[in-house]
Amino acid sequence: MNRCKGLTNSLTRWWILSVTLACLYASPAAADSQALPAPESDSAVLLKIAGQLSKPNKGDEVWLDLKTLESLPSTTFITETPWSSGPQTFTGVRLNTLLELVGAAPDMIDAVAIDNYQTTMQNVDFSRYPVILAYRQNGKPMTIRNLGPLRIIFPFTDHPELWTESNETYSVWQLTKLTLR
Amino acid sequence: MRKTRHFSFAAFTALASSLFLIYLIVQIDKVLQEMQSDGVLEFSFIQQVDHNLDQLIDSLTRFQLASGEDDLDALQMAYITRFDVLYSALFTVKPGWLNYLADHQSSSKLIDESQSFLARYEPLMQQDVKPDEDMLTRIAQEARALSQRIYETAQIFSKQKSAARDRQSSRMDQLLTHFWLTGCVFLVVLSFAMTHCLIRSR
Repeated sequence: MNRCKGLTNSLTRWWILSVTLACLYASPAAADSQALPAPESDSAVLLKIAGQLSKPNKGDEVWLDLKTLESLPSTTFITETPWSSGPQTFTGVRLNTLLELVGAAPDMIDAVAIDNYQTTMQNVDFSRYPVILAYRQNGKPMTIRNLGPLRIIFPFTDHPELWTESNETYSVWQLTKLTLR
Repeated sequence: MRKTRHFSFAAFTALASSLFLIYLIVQIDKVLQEMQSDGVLEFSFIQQVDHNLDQLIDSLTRFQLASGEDDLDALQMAYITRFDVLYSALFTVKPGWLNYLADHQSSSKLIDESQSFLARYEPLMQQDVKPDEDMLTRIAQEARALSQRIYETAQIFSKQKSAARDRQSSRMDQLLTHFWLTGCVFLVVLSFAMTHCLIRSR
């Protein structure tokens, strides 16, 4: 009889704990704490991420500024690109890290640049290759004139198999928006 | 004696045709590489420059037409941004593509003119510098003229690429015909030589 009562008590405790955790997880406060911080002012926004994501920070989208991007785990590598002379050092956030942080696992990504250049990235293994959203070139922040402030960079030198015409078209400079599909 | 002469002739023919086959393979590879650099990205780049010039003209016009209610600073920032985008395309994007385009004399001249246009008006592209009406009109006019020239250059480029593609295609046909013919000769001679060897060994 006592064993039965003990079992009922522990089941009740587990049920209360599960319900509490589920409520905490589902609450907006919990969702906000998981989302990346939104920029303090709209003018500071460098990148907008829209589409299929589960952790928005501004309406349905994720808006990011340089401060937030710099606070994320960074990756640095040296690579040559078809548009620069000699090897360049790029620093930025790995795209797969960023996708995880915004709660997305897209099949396709539409990237748009300041000059309305658009491309759709697909069949790129972001978890295998350190493709980055670069915000620094040779240690310095990039301006529009230097193809910044944000640029998608493939590690062409370390992974020559990535040096394809498709990946060249995916290497968007002056990036402003990503739409995840 | 006669048999030996035949055998030597067969051996020489086999050797010559195998060497010719190697030469053909190298040539086919060369043509394939040429065909791979089809200029699509370069063409897209020219289009982008043209589009950016149009955007600059558009933003300059919007600034000129702005009334008191409009946010002049934002409109000015817009044309400065467009100018910077153009600047990045023509000054920062370098080697590979521009050298390729520079092979064509007209493209090279056009790139020089576009760069000089940007260098000339660069001092005016700052938030604290307010260019007068005439200056803005002049910049827009020059940008429009450049845009027209870029469009014409893109057409020339497209025609040249089409002609080059036709040349490559016909060269490829020629090489493949030679490849198959030489391959057949090589196989015939080789089988003749082998048969000859077999008969002699008996």
